[in-house]
Amino acid sequence: MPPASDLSISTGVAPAGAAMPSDAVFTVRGLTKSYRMGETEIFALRDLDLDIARGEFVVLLGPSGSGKSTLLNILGGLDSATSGDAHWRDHRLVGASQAELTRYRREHVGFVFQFYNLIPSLTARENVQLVTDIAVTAMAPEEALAMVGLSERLDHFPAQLSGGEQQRVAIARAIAKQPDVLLCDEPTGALDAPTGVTVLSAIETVSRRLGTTTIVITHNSVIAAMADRVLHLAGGRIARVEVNPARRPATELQW
Amino acid sequence: MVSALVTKLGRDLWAMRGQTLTIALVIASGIAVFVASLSAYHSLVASQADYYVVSRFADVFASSRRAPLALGERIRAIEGVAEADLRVVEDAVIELPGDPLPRTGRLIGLPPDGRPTLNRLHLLSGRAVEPGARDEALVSAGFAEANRIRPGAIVRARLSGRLAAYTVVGVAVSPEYVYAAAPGDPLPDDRRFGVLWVDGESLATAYDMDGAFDDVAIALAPGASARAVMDELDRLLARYGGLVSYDRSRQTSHQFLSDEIVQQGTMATTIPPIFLLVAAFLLNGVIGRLIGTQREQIAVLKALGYGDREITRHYVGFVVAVVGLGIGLGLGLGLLFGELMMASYRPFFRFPSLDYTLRPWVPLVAASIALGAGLAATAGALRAVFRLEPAAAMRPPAPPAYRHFLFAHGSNARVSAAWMMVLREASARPFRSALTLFGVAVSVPLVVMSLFWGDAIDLMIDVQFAAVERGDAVVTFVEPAPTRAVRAVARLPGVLLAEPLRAEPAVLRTDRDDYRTAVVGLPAESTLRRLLDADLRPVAVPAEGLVLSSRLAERLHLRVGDAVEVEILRDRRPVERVTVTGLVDDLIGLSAYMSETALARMMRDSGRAGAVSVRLDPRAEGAFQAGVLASPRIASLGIKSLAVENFRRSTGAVVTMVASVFALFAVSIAFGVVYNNVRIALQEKSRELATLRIIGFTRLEVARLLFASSAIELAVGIPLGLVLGYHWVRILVLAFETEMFRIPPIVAPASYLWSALAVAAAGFVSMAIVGRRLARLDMIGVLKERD
Repeated sequence: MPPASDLSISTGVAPAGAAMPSDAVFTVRGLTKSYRMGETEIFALRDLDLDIARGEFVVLLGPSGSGKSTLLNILGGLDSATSGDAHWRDHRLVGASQAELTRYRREHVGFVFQFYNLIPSLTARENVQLVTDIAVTAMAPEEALAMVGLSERLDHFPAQLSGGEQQRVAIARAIAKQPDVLLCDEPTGALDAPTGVTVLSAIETVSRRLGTTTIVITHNSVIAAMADRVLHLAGGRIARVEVNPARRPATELQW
Repeated sequence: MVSALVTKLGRDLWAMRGQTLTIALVIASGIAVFVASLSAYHSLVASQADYYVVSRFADVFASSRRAPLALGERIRAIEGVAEADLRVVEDAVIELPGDPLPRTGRLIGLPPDGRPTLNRLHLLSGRAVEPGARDEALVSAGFAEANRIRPGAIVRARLSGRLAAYTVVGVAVSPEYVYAAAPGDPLPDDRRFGVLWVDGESLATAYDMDGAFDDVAIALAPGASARAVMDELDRLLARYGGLVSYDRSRQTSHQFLSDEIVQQGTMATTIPPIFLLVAAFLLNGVIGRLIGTQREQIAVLKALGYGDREITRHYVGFVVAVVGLGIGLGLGLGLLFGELMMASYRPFFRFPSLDYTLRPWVPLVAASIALGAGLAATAGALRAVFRLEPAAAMRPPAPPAYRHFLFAHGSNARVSAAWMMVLREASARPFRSALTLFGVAVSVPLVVMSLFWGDAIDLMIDVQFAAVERGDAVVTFVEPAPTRAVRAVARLPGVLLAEPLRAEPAVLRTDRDDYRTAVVGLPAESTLRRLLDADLRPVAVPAEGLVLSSRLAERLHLRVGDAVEVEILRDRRPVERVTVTGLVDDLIGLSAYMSETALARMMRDSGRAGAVSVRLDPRAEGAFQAGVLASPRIASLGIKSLAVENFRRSTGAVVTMVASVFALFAVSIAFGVVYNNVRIALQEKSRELATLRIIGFTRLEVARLLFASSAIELAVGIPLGLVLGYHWVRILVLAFETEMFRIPPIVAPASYLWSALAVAAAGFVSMAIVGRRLARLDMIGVLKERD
């Protein structure tokens, strides 16, 4: 597997090529996404190359507009690219049909968003059930909620839960299908620090226990310490890669 | 410079063009039906009133057997008589060259100058009859049109046995025959019945009426009492075989025309306001909900410093634009459809001109109701937003209190979480579901009511022409004839069965009231003409006593067992008190029936028949018609199949046209309601639906969830609507009952089915359109929005 050119020119703390895992599940080559805004073409992603290994915990850092969310959305089968290639195992993520992408999301991906996106008319248990109803290898909703420490709040509606609890329900919903990939976009963005730590612990626990490949977007550089690898994005490119020799437990994080 | 709010208004209208258009469609449908029906009705009323004045339509009519012209002096001297027109009027079989079908003609003698002073003729083509031209005739417009008779054509009439040939010199309309139905026929048949105006003197000679008259039309002086004039007239004519005189209300054409106008009026004042009110109600709901979805924008405007008044003005502008579009569209369609309705009346109502009249209040009322409903909804929705602090309004509304369902509580849930969403949503906002459900439910009866008219016509034909009149033809004699004449008809070629029909003009009197009708004598074993009760079961003709149409009994406040005074207006005018022994449910006309023998006993003759009902061998119809033409005593021939065909072609065509257009508008209303509800639901739920798509629900699964509540609302609303339709029709027919017609409130199963299908289709089309939007759902975008 040839090393990505982008990474070799990055001012990495570690050489990019060395961090390239050999058992990559995600392989991204020359990924470009651009929008036309009137006369000018805006690049969200420019010719990006990336490999992510099975079970790896990756944090994406970068300012607004650096392309983190676009990358995450393409990896999650939610967005299309202008050119280039992206695969999850043998699933094509660029140029795939809507139906193929839906199946990919349904069978392999769990999402966690900044604003939880729970269904207000469903209880915690039912929000998780939403996923277990359609997934192939699902755990029981109760089990998923237990993993995020919400065994006592099964029959509460979102409006009856705190922000942190709601986000943990969202995590339970994301992991209940035992996904191969867990994608989190600013999961703690709307939470205070102690609550944020609880939520990150939940993500950490499930990713470890289930061996899930996890990608987390954040503005908060403290969170980067949890990761195996930290990708700094800027202007649609990976500007810098940090490899943590050891992942710090979420409970030790403070901001 | 255009203010930002005005720009927003324009952009919002454009962005919501689907909703704007469908809301406009709902209100346009209501207005169109309202405007069209009322304007058509007003046009008929105005045409009738104008024409009666211009043509000097007479006020009082009477006929006698043979009265001397000298009596005219005394008639004109009656107090209250302004003018009297004495004339000879006779019915005769007429034939057109080269056409074997015998037709009925009413021959009316013209005064020497060819221009009657009352019931003036209006020439549509040709010229008037030259004074003294014995072989010239004017023919009535309908007859001329139906039989393609133009000036120069020849029409032959069998005048009292002698065949006379007339050259048609002109085509005319008369206020006496605006609605031209043959004697005894409930409906006009222009092909088979026509009026011929011919030289009066020669007509009199043909019927041995020299120096005499048998018919008089009278114009009353202003303020004169018709009753007093008629009484005096009856007294003068009694010696000359006079029948009881009558005013316009019993004049056939006027009676039918007025009934028809009343029905049009009922139609215009019952169904269209329902359309309009339903549309207004739905408009109210849809606009209220639409403004609800703008709540955050309103809050932002307030936060920016806009006052309630400016914001209100903005939304009033929005609603006025939407409703205004609907009003414009509705008025346009209404005028178009109104003209169309008028055009469809033209073959029925032979006015010199049938002009389209739109009274200004009609569009004004329609527009006001529409605008009022829209603005009331706006005010309500805005008030709800204004009550909130801007900061509170900027947050999305707190979710309603969702309930746990017992059946799905805990881990052993039987219902999938996705369907639980649908159930919770529906149960948490019962009012919203109820409103849509109601919208669906009330659009169904609009279709049912529209389709019902076709059913009513079918049923009337079935009952009248299959169950009641079971013969194939009715032969009417020039004068009531003895029973041997019936036997003569029975011997005509092709006749399988012949039964006498005797109808004597009569007055039924009670202490309070009287009614002029015909007493029909039927054979005890009558098979060709049957009496039916309300459940369409045959009622035997009793040997003694009188059987009445139930509406006649109602009118005279009579019940079975009561006695009523019957005066037969013929010969020696026998008067007897007769007991009412039964009631029948005639759909058409108010009649009294007796056994043939009881009537003969009352008349002290051995039985006579005015007409004969016959059953024919279908293979010998031609021979039968030729036989009728050759019989001097026969005045007219009614052929059932032609009458039915004519009825379907004329009334049926109009009703079908009006009903289809009504149904179309009803379906538009259903479409507008369902579309807007689904569209707003999509807007409200887009975030949840996007979440479902992201976590792996397919487009189809998401669509099913979005449309589930609409489908349930349709599934519950449509049956409810059918029940409503059943009851609305029952109420409706009560309003439509006239003296001449009773409409049975029976809706055919097919009409229910079509109504349900039409509304369901409108719903599914709405869903399909919104479904395409669902495909373009921006999954990422909605997730960037905060909760």
